[in-house]
Amino acid sequence: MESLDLLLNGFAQALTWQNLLFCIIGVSVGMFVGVMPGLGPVAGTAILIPLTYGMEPTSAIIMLSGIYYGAMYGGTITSVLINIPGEAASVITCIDGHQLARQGRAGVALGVSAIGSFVGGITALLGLAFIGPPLADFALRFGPPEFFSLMLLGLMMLIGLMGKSLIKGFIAAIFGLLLSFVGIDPVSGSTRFTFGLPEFFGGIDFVIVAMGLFGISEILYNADQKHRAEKPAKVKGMFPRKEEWAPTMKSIGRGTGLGFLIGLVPGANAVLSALASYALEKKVSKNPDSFGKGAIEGVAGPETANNATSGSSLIPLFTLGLPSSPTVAVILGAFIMHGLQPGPKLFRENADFAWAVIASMFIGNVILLLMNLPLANLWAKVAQVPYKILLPLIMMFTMVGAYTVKNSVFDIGLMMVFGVIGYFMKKLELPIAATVLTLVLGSQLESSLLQSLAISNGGAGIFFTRPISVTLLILTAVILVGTILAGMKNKKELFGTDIEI
Amino acid sequence: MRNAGIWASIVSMAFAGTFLYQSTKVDYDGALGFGPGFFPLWLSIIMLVLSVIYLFSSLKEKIHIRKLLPEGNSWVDFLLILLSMAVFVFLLERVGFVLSGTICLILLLIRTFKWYYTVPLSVGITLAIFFIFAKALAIPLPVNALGW
Repeated sequence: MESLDLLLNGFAQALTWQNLLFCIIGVSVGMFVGVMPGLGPVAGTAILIPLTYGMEPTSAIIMLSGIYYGAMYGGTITSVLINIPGEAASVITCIDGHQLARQGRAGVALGVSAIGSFVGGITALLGLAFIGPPLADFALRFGPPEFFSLMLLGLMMLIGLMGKSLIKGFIAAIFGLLLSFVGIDPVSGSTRFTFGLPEFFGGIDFVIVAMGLFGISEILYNADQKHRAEKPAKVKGMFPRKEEWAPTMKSIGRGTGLGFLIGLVPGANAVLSALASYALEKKVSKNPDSFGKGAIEGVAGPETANNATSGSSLIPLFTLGLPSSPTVAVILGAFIMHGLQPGPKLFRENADFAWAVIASMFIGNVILLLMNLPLANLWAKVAQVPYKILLPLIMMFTMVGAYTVKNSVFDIGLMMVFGVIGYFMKKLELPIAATVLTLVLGSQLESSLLQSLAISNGGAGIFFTRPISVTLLILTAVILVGTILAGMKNKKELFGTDIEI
Repeated sequence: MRNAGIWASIVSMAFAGTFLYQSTKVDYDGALGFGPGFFPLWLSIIMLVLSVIYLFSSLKEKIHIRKLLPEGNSWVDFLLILLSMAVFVFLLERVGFVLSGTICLILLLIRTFKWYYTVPLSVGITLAIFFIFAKALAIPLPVNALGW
């Protein structure tokens, strides 16, 4: 029960007024980002990273992760009330959630989602608290070859699952890798790919690229789409009828299990888990015809699953240092920016930090439950803020944020360039997540490769003679072949939802 | 030449080619084995090969270049966003944050609101952000001789 003691210590830290305040700010911004169509958790997290520069690392990560899981709650509200998903993982909720609202049962849809999200989120966090440390201990046995193979596997899963085309996925990934090499090489000290620009000597900052590729590209993309505002349905009565409790709780149970497992797989984001859960619910339902006409299970399952996924996707981050979705990649970037290295040593070397963040997420989920059950009407009004008012605020925040990274105007320009690149990548269906992920992992990937090769005097055999490494590489190969075969049979449509916002 | 995939693969090839050329200028071998040029060199070669495959695959699966660009009136909005950002970048260290931010937002909003809403809105948002960052968070922003 060592984990329990440490978790209790974490609560003591997370409950300091300062950390509690940042947790509340984080989940409120998360709710806001989730509620607003056209502003998703990735963009929200990336844009707000610069605000955390002056903060303690613990407070900073508490706030940023609050945005991440808070958005999962918020997205539901607009899906149900105005039939517009606030963020991508709630797309499926529009189907039955909005039908329920049209029957005058919007409150029930929101109540069930809030309860399901809470159960899913808390279960995933328990998983993180109790599975995380032993997994991290196991990963301590990893040397450079194992880490290289593991990163390769993570990358392969991301590319295999997220993009529609394997070729485009690899191109996007190598694009990010090459960008990560810009600047002074930490091993040899020599300068690479700076093209004579002194601004590049320190490397291309991850925050600038993430804000450009996710934030600015989103602004440009939104210039293309027109948002319509619909009057939200009234919310009253948050709980299901007596006879509906049993099937609802069963859906929540299934959603938790499914979402949790999917979150462990890199590349399988909350969007995918919501879709998979909807399909599962429809399959096991005694009355599948009710789906699409306001089935409560069609809301409870997916909404639970997307929250369970967002929680459990932090397990590979905390234990292995591997992000499994774009938002987690941004959070990983924030870890590194604050001098923390997620991975097997995190629970040992920065135990206080890790447990405080985990404890804060328990608290954050409770706050979100309170915010969602009685305050749903208020959030529905927030969603009515027109995008044209929001746009100048987002623009200013993003540009000032980019400037504050290094107090350099050059960085704002660079962010603009990445914004345009991101816009075209979206239109061409090149997965931005792969670029951002490799940009974050690039230097680790290179150093683990070079170290492995140095240990084996230059031979690649070292990757194939160590049992863990070779197992990981075989898995990578299996996924590669599987993806190619699935691509040939065009069976990747379900996985082809490369939704970045 | 209206196939967007062809253009994308050419850009990707040019990027890989540039990095390939640049990585030949860095040491391939290092003190303890391979040097800083090794990994980038091979990656750019792989990217080059993948770009060629992308080129051929896009001959089959065509994406019209028009799909890539904003439609109709959105063009103006799209360009105005970029223009207003560029103006902000150009002016920021010359005239200070408040003035450059206001001009940037006026450009951004002029098509959305009447001018008598645009101007106060732009000034208000810029001042609000200035106070949040420069005063509340004590993050230095560029200012002019008058301190704003």
